[in-house]
Amino acid sequence: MIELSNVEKSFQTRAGETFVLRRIDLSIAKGEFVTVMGPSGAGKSTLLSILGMLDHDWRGEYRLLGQDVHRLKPKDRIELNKKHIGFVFQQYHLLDNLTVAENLDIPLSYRNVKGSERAAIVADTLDRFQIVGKKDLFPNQLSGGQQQLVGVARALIAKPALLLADEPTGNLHSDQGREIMRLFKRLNEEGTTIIQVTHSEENATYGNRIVRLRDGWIEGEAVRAEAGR
Amino acid sequence: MNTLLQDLRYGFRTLIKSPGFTAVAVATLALGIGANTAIFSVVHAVLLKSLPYPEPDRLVVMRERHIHHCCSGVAWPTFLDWRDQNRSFQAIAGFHEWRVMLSGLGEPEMLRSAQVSAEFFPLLGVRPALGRFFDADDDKPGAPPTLILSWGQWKRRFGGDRSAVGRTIDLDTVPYTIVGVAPPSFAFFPDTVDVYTPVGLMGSLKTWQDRSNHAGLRVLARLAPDASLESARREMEMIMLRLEKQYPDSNSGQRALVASLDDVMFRDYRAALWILLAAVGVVLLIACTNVAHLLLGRASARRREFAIRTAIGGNRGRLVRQLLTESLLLAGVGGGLGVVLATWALGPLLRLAPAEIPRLADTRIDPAVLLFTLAASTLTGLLFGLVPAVQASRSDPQSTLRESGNSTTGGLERQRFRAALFVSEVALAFVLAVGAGLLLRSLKRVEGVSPGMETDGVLALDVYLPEAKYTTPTGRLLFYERALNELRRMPGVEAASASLCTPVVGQCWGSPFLISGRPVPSQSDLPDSAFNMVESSYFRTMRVPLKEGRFFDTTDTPDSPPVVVINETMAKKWWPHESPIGKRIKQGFPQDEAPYREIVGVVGDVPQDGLDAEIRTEVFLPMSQHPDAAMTFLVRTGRPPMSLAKAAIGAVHAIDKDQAVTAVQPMSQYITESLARRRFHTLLLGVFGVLALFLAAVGIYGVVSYGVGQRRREIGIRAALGASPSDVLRLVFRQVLRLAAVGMAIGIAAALLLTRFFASLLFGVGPTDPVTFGGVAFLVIGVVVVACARPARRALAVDPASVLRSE
Repeated sequence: MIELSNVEKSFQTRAGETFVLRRIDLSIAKGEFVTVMGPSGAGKSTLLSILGMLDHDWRGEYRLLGQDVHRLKPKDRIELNKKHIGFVFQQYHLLDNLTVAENLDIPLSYRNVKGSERAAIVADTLDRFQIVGKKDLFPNQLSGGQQQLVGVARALIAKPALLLADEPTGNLHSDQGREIMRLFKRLNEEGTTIIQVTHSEENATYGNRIVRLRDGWIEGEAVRAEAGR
Repeated sequence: MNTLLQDLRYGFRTLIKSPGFTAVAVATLALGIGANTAIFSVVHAVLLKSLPYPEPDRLVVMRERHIHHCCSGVAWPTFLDWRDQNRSFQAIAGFHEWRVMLSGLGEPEMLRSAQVSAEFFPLLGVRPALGRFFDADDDKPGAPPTLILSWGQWKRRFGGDRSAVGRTIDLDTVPYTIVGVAPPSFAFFPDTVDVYTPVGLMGSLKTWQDRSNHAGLRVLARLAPDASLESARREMEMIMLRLEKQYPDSNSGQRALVASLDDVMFRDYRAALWILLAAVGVVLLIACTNVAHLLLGRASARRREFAIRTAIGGNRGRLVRQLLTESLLLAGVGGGLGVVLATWALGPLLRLAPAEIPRLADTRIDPAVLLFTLAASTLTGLLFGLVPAVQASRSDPQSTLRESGNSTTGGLERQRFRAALFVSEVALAFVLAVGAGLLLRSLKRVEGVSPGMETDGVLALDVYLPEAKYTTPTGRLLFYERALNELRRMPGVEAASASLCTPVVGQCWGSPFLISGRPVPSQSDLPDSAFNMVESSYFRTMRVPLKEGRFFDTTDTPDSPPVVVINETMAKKWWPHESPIGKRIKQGFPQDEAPYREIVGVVGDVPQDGLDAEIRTEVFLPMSQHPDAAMTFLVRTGRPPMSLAKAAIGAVHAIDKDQAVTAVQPMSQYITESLARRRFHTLLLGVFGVLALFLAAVGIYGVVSYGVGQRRREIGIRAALGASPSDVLRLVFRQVLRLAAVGMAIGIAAALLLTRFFASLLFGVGPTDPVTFGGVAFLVIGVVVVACARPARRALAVDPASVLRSE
């Protein structure tokens, strides 16, 4: 599904070129649940931003579902992103002035889905994530776990093939975090490819493969024989 | 459509959630759009609306002019020649504004009348409200006198009674039969006309039969289908050359002046109104700049939102559309409130405007004006919203979403844009303030012009003696002398006199003249002067200074040698190196029988045509030797002049109870009225200038305040490291003052370029008057300093300890 070949990101300082990612070669197959781990500053979130096409300032080769992302213009990358990728943020990043239902509606609206269809999809998603009762509430009226749940629902509403999650439980307490990870597991079993960035070893056990980064390099990989709980 | 509604709903909610920002932005836009709406409604009613006649662009107005001096009425025989000889016009009609005295229906009253040809109303496509208009049989010398009532007179005098048609009323003691009533909407003449009579009746007067008498007749014509204004002008030139050859004594040097009706009606007001509209346009630009500043500030605070939207699939186009929708929503609400403000302001605006502006009464907030407001609001929304929207849509989702959410000062591009907005605000405010300053100095200059006489404490009242009753000069002179005696006997009266021309108002007639002992020029090269008839005590009553010789006195009688007094301009022009006393001049053409008159005195100049008009040469004839049918009585008193009004009218009626008295007002009111238009323009431009400076100050305050907020941490650290208050102020305001200086430099350059366009509105100051430019520069610097004062206090109040603690 994903092929990264010699992907690098750096920026110029007075001291010279500073690398954030160095010669990243990575393949991820469809249906995998990959955890990217490493110490602070290892380049995990940067790697996720590149995979999610939020960052265009890198070099190397990146193929997604057979498409050469490195050859696409930023505008075309955004279109590719819209088609195949959903992103879950550590800080939820819900839109504070929109209700839960409206937050779910926005990605569909950006994908030019018709109004009547959008309403049906939003209703289904609310039901699927059991947040129908919260549909008219604003984010500041929800708990952290509920907000992240909405964040996950929003990331999935357009049925992406790939879900990227950057420290999805970082701002949650452990019970809430486990709920979210169990949800991810379920989604992965249903066919969604998931790549998560986390510090948590516990969260890593939900996946079937771990990629470790240090100082911008891939330090090592490990495949779990039996993933998840 | 669905997503547009979504954007609207969201935009509305966002604005409601920021009431402070929304209130300031809406108020700013309302002021700018409202001012534009109000002024545009005037411009639309006066200049843009089509004249209410069929094919108004085919209508022309014609006068005569001399090749050496301007314009006069058309001599009656010349008008008849034009009517018979032209091929350029499908219809041609004469019209002449006059006053007539209505009597026999209660109190005698002076009415405004218009003497018009039979073709006049049909040419304008007007139909009578009642009865009929004049026909060819009415419009010829010796025809039974007929008249058409204005709608207003019909309602007022006859209560709208249909049986008024066919009745008879006396005008100037002559019975006229009412044949029709004009429609209520008809308003061709600048002053409301009360009655219309056939101009052809004037053709029987000996004075009108004289080709050299230009009695104030003008000609209205409709171009023939195959003629243009240029071809008509060429044909009229040929006709006048033919007449010049045919009648050299009267028509030498005479030509036709042909202008479109539109030009004649609006020429004097066009420039000023467009300038006012441009001025409010500048105010709106400044308002847009302010709101753009506010939006930029908000965009910084909303970076997180835009980053999220981008991360979840929003492309730049959608983001820009969303933000523009919000801007248009703001502009729409601002525009709506602007219409309310404009409606409220229109009443006072129209009351202040000089009544002489044509079609001013038609000003209203009509669909065309609302359409203008809609267009202005839309353009405004796009103007102030586009760049902030495009800039906001360029957010980098990756870096923004990883931040804790604190906004930063924004990228270099955003800062440059802010700087450009700041500079343009200062420049625009400068230009407008210079315009207002120039007009204000002009007004002060005009107000400082001496009227050449003492006008305070003088009551003026006009009389028009009907020719049918006062048929001889002796009869007229007797009336004036007896009336003056009655006026002088009134308690509180210090002196009383009379003159043909009311000073400043510009009613004097012009005439060629000859100087005895000098070669007689050709007919076309005869000099021209204003001529005035005055009672012998006129100069003393009005306190016009005597420069040389003597005033008229009781020795100047109808039987004594004919004399004149001239003004200083005339003396300097024609006798620059000698005294004119004893010299002789003759009014009229060489072949005329008028006598040569001896110059017995030179008096100070009186501005006949307005305080800001060039002083013409003026010749005064003694009323005793030349009593005209229309005179203005001038009564000097130590009391408030209007307190004598009733008694003065009574004094005239004591001599002739059927004689109407009109235009009873203090002399100073004529001065005030002559300045009305200039005062109006100055007031409006002054208000806009103040508004522009106020908005600029608000904008500058916002920018500086925002900058101080952004640099709070830096200021705290510098203060902790030992920066003094002046160091802090320098840090914060160095850039502000630099930008203000750039703005002023651009403003000066722009003002130097633009002010020449309203040089015609100025008096006594040039469009690049250094005093005005310097004064406004100081004012703008002052505004910048005041706007920076509060942010400066905030910057000085930053506590280094609390800043370091929060780090």
